[in-house]
Amino acid sequence: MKKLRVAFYSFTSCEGCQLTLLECEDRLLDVLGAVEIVRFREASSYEGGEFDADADIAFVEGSISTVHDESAARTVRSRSKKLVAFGACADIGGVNAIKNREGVETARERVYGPAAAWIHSSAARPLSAVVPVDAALHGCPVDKDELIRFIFAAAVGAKLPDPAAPVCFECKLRQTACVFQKGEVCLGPITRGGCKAICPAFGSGCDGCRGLAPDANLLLMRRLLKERGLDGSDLARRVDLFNAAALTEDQRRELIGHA
Amino acid sequence: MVDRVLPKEQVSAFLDYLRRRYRLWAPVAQGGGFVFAEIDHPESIRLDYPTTMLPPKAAFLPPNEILLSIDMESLESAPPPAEDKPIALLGVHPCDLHGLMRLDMAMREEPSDASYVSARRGALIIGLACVHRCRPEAFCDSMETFRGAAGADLYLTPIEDGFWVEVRDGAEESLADAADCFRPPSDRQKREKDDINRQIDLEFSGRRLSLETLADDLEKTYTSSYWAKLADRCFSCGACTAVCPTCVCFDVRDDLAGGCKTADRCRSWDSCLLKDFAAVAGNENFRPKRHQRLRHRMMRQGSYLAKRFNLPAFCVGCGRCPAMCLGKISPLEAFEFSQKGRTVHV
Amino acid sequence: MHDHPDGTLTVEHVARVEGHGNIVINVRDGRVEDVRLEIVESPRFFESMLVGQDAVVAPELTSRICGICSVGHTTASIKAVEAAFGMEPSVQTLLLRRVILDAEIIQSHILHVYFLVAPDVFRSPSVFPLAGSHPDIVKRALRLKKFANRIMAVIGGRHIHPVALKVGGFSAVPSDADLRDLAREAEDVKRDIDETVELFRTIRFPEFHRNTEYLALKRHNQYAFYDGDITSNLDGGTNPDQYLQRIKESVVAYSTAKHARSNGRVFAVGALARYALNGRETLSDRAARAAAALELERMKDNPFANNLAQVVECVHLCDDVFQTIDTILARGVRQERPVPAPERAGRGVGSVEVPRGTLYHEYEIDKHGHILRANCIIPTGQNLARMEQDLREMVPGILDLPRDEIRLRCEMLVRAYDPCISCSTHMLDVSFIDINEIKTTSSPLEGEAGWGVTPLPASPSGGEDKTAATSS
Repeated sequence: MKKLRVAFYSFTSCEGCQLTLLECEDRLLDVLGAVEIVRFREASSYEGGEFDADADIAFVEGSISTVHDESAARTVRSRSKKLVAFGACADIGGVNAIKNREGVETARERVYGPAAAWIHSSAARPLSAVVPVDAALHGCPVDKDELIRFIFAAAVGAKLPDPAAPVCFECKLRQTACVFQKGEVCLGPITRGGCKAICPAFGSGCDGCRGLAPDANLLLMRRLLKERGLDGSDLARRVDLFNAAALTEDQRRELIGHA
Repeated sequence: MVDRVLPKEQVSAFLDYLRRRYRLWAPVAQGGGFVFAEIDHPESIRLDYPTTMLPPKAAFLPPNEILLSIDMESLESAPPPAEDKPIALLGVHPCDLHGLMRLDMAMREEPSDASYVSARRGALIIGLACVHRCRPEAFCDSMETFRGAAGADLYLTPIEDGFWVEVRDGAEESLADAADCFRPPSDRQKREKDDINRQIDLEFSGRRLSLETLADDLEKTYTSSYWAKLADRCFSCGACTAVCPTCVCFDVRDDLAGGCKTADRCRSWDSCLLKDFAAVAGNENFRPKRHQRLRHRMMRQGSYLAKRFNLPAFCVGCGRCPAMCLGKISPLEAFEFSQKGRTVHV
Repeated sequence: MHDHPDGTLTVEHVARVEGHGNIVINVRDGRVEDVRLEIVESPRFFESMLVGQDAVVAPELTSRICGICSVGHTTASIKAVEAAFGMEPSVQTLLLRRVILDAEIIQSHILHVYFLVAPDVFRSPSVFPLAGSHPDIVKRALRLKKFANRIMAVIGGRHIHPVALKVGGFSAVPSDADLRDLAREAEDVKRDIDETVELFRTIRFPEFHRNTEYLALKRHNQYAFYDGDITSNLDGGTNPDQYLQRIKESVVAYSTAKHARSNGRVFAVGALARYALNGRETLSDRAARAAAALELERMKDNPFANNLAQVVECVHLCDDVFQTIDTILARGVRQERPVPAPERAGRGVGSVEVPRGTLYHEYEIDKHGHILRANCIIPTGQNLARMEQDLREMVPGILDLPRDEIRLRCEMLVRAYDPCISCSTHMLDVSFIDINEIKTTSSPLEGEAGWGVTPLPASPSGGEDKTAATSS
């Protein structure tokens, strides 16, 4: 059986999701045995242009925030059979999108003053805003086990997994004390799981890096958070840490109100 | 049923016996609460625990387990190697004893669940009476599951000298090697035990439901708008099913753990509360709306399985799900609504 | 890479470095006209995104500046906030922070020397083919990384974007049993590190020596990572709070990347700088022996020796990790909660040695505990001018080599600095776009769904169009 051709690309990102593959340690060798990695600039030299490779699956990390990003993303889409948004920045915009709320112009002006008008950067967008995306690996960073499972499933042609249960479910499975019951707040009930609820397990409430769970009860979350003293601009800031570009206007109004 | 006493001074010897013969599971402190865990250090056992995060079902039906490992080249499969010792569950409260009995009914019903049956085989269940309500959300009084001697091989009631032990018929032979730990009970001890049982009856005297008609009453609410209103308080997160002693639904997935050389057929807990639980091939979903899924769980706990297994209810009123639920939803309020026709919050 | 007829040698998107950068060398009539290190990473405006945030959220946010050095950024950020609020973490917190920082540096150095540098030595495009030809070497690298990652997972939850590191302490403290499990691996890890030293003893790096200023944090009697004073090999040191008085960033006329200078001089930070300044006296015994075996003293002024200094640091850090874990266990692990942060105004600087050099975070915080202003100076940004200068000094001497060899030598030089380009482009000042590399094939971007995209200006000279950065 011919090995699957797999490519890793990164746009506006911290390259932490790419690094996650290298941090799979012993299983990295298994991955190398199962697929052919045709592009992985962070770890491997290559012949030809960076985006100049045909791939069966392309993992794209990072948001689209420059003209260069956008055109390269289109190239990658055209050269890859399947395109996977790899990590929160590509999936939902991630932390890059925080500046979208105030506007990139404000961010530029604040840091560089009016002389910076020539600096070219757009609002940070998820990959799906510029090209059709076939699948996504969520989280900031992606979960190692999930990545391995995904790659192997792709290698044998199995259905690509996409966990959807809210974080609360996984928290209970590992018997972590509920963050709310410790007097703190957590976005777990409305956040897509698959991360094994790692943040609550280490004493930190969920910040929603994997995006909204399907069918999230935003009104209930808002009520619950308000009872615990989190609403208005404080709530907006917390949600916008990872989800600034991930909510529709309606969802934003339900969860945050008019902040 | 044979009555014995386990004196305080013999508890340590009894624990040693259990650890030699069995994989001992008992409650220990963890993360500000308590959990059932396999015991390495007997000093960590906390029989004074109110309740645990997850019920003891996790011993026989773990949140994640490998059912088969498949060699991807030969396509031969094998189950994981059998454990050398059966499990002993120590300190199971009555609600959880009832839960285990109901779990047995569900999992042994033909075709029985091979993995569960194998884990359950030869297991020793040691119950522990509850003298006080463990938490305000518990409604074992209404569900009449606050006494559990019937579900246990040994049932312990704490007395001043140690524990009063009710030994199920047939269990005594299996405990022959531990016989030295036990004593015949004295009259004084018997009086003390009877006193305690009277206290228990008083403590758990509330009855907010008429159990005989619950299953029918609940079904009559199927089309009520009550469920949509209740679902406004639901995150569809599945926490309730995870902590439930009688919830058993699971998902099976083939996991390529060994680099495409070995596939593991993994079973993990699932939940009928989750959005895609009732989605089938072709993308049809039988319960796409939150209130449908919430109603389904309540119906299952109060009606469907009650009728199937000829019980007053399947829910044991342990109180875990209302305590864990961020919307504070309790089966008790749904059951009460079906019988009183009005919303009552716990 | 491609050769232009006019003698421009370009390496586009240097591989095996973190982030996107190009090397451009202009040669005319056999003479080097210009050498540029062009950074093309997309800017993310972290300093702006920090404004208005709760100061206690800053570590979580700034962790996302970089995947490889998340613990470094998180630590510098925490220190800046704690300094601003006048907070004193507990002794155990400081010890745990030391272990996890040590682990990240080990992890980063091992990744760098085995995955990014070693392939050059074996003439391989990456470490992946080496898995077939030199499996023992690759397995050793993976074992060492795995161990370092285990430490970070046990103490912080995970390496990339750690969870438990908070202002004031740790939101979860590992158990006594967890730490003992880690301690048990000492013998195996030390053996793997020793074999790493042996491997690098056999590697000959190019002999390219130049004088330079080195900066690093230094502490009396300790090879400094978590704390120290800014120290130079050429003049007296600086209190890290006054870092801006010493380190100035500016635009250089011919260059598109902002360059840093220390009292006017081009300088270098990183493992080699730390070694040069801290010296053999503060290294552990095993590390001092490794430094001698790798001839580090003789190679102190050779930028390629940064790779060797990283190996020596791994030996030292490995010893430090196990010693510190023993200290924590001997004190008895306490399940402490983080010290709560006060709500008040303040200004603080957090400086810490991370894998590539000294990292500074500075925040100004208002009376509600929200960030008013933030500044970060990262190691790679401090090294860019030195890297370019090194290329400028090295290339004339190797012009007679075949083109491929020149290219490889330049890439190896850049790689030796272990640049973290994502970090260095956390702010806009080191970004620009080479118009020749952009293939715009799509329909106009303006007006799409409300996203405000500014199109590129037309190229004035027909050649490369670079947008330079201004200093903040």
